[in-house]
Amino acid sequence: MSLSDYHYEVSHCHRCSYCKFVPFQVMKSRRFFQGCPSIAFRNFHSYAAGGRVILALSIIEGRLKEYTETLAKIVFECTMCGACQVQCRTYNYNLNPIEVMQELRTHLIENGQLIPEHLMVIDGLKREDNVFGEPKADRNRWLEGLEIKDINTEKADVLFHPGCRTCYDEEFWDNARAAVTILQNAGVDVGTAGKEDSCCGGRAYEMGYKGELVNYAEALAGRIKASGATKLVTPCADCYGTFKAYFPIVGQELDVEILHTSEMYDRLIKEGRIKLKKEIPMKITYHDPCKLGRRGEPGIPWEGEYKRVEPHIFAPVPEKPVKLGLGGCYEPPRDVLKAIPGVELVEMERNRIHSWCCGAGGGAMEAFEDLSTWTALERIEEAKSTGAEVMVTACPWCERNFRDAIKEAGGGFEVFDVTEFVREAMGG
Amino acid sequence: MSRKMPDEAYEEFKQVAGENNVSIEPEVLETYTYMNGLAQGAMGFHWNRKPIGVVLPSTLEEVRKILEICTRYGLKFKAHSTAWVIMALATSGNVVLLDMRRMNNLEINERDFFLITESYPPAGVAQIEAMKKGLQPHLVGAGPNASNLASATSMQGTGGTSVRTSMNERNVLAVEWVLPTGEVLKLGSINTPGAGWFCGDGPGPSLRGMMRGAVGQVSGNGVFTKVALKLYPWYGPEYKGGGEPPFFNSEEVPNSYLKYVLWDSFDDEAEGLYRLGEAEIIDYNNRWAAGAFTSAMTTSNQEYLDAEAAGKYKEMFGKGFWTFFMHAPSERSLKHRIKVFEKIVSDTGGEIADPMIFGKRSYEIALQNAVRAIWIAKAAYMPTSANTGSMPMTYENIDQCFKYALPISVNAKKEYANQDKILNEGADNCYACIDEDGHYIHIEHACLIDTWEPKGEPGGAAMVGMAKALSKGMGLLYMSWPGSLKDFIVYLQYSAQIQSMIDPNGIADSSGTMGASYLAT
Repeated sequence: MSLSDYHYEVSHCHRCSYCKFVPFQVMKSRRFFQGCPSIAFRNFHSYAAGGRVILALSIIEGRLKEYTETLAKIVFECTMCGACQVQCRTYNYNLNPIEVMQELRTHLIENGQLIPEHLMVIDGLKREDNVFGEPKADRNRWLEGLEIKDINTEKADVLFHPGCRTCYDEEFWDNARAAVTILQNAGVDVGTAGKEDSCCGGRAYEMGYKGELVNYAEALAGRIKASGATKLVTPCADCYGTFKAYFPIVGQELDVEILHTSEMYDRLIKEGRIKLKKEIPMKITYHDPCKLGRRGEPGIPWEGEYKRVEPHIFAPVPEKPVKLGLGGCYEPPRDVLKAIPGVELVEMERNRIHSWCCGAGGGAMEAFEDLSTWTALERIEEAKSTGAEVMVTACPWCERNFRDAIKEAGGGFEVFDVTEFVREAMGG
Repeated sequence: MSRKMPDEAYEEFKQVAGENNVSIEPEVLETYTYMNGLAQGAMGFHWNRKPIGVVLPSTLEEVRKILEICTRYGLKFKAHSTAWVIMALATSGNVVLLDMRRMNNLEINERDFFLITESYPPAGVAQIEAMKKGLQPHLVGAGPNASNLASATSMQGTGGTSVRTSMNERNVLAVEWVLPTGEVLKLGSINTPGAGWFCGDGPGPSLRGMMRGAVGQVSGNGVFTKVALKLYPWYGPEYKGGGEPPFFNSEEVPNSYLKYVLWDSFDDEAEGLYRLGEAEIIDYNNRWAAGAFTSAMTTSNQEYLDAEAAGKYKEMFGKGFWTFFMHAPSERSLKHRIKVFEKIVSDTGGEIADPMIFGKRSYEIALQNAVRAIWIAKAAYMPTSANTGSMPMTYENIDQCFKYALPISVNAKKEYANQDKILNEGADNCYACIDEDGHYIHIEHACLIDTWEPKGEPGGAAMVGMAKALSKGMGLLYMSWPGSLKDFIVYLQYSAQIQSMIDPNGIADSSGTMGASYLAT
């Protein structure tokens, strides 16, 4: 699909603004009625999905001929959280805003309108196979002191994929090691890709660099095939969403079960292989990472077009899959937390498919720090409004962004990973 | 005429609203140019005039200064709130749009049963906060995403609950209004120190009629920054929904009654409506026919076609049906209402049907319409996404609409549908609701159209319907416009005189269609 293939969809936006709000059926307050961080931050309609589809239409129809920095800013100052997709589709079934926005990004990059900060990421990625441009040789430093199989030399049932953030952000090494140890202690046969481990390509894809995603998808598929692993487990929601949703879109279905660590824990707890004995008397709230939740919904490739099937009725032929985020991972991390003695889990107003973003995705953290930080602090306010003492999440990117934003705002709240709670409840 | 913002004006706008809240960038302006759905879009004019700038004010003072800058530099202005469906787009060459999104404050006065809203808050958001206090505002049929201020001051404000909560133009209490000259006009009790917002009139003559005319002037008379609106009792608890989109699951509303009613003829329908109105028992009412019901019940266009081919909705609702909702403060009160309701329906030959007749979806649609005004607009814009509608669209009595106007409209539509100029979803796709216990009725006869359809003829059916109504001496039949062409011209003359009085410099972009009633929310 190219941008011009979306002409029917983008010309059929009703300008209802549902893309901006949490669906009215589940909206709970004026304070937290916004659903889209980008329009909530910038306020011009341009920054809503509705505005972006107008820009797509304008490009397709040849009205906007110059690809300017302003156009790029509007298109890319968005976390690609996918809230608009859920919200739009509660009303309009002829438009998929998140697909259009992804295609718009790819189109701009293909036409040379680059975001400098993103370009730096891509350069680093091409050079070192990670989104930080850090030495590839350092990728497995988090593993030091840990005994784990290398799938290049030994067979393992589970391939553990840490993701770039975990590998290069020392703050998360402890978590990653804990995750591996928890799995091993539960009898899971775990291995890593060792020196072959690399980026998933998801962040590059969201920055508009589709080719990078294709390359990394092919490489990973090859590694998995050679390893004989039956499961791919990751503690990173960003990678999870890439494997589940993006790989199939670019034609790379992985022949393994893809699981987030929280899903593995949940399974192992229910099988009695992980025992959570230690009480943690704490009121907590859980933040759904977008790429684990609504954007972790399995992607279904679709090639087709809108055809006039009857006078005045145009429909996608063949029928197009509906994306409402319902196939994401929502309950396993909650079930894990609820299984911990003493934990009281309270929900934020915007949860599951209606969750507010952390602000880290879509290249916003790299290029639009103001949006990213503001979005995170909005979420922290929502977490605090529940009366929770801390917020727990399941993605190192979310955690990084939350922790940085909290620090910038002067502290006063803490964010943890599900793994930290599991480890603590297992006795440390 | 200037097509570019003067540099000095741009600098001044930035000083007033802040650098990040003013844009003259073509890419931003482009997103304030396109419209699909109703009016311009439905007529095939998707791309409209491009404004020369967009400003996001956040206070009354900023709005005032913005209009002063416009006056100084000879720029026109137009303001919009949530901009649902038909936003107030620029209609002349040098227009600065005021996107009122940052004026988002809302206050509920629980004691005195009113809310005070700035320009932006969507009605559904106001409703959520009001319901927490056992109150509810009026919601227009356009849906919870429409601004309450817009429908009260600048456009038209009817909806399914109008039978109980009236129309928004009649819920207006005190008003804060910036005239095109930049002067702030305060209507009603806010003129009296310490009196608050409880009253819309005095001292002196009321200006509320002049403020909006028949259908509102859509910023042609200035910018409304704050309005107090009446609230009505909600017997609780607050509405709660969950489950899976798009149909969700609503929690049951205690002491409520939700049913469909079908009548065989327009005469019986009219009689039933008069009597139900007189009984003062109804809290929500809405008339749909098979077309709208099919649109609401289905998700994808393919599903719509499958449902239509199956024919069961057309078989059941081909002649139209009503949804009625009653919500009482006690079980005893509800029982009484049900008795009255059932007797009236029976006396007038109506048939009561359970909203679960087509499963959970049909129940949810009925309930969410009744309580949250969610599905009307969806039915009006899917599967085609545009609705030329409006033949006839009235604020008249039940007799006039049902016994005389609607048959004309149905026949006019049939001609167009048979030639595929509009979607053929059955001749009768009339939406209606009685207002204020039946003193008025509002009708919209939807004509769906895809403006990319080669055989499509946008607007034609509406025009023919109006012409036929005129030829039978029935007037223009558009909302509360005067009925006859002659009276309508007089109305336009009055509107123009008022506008020239309050806008001596002619800076309001009121050069839109039909007496400055360039629709907007």
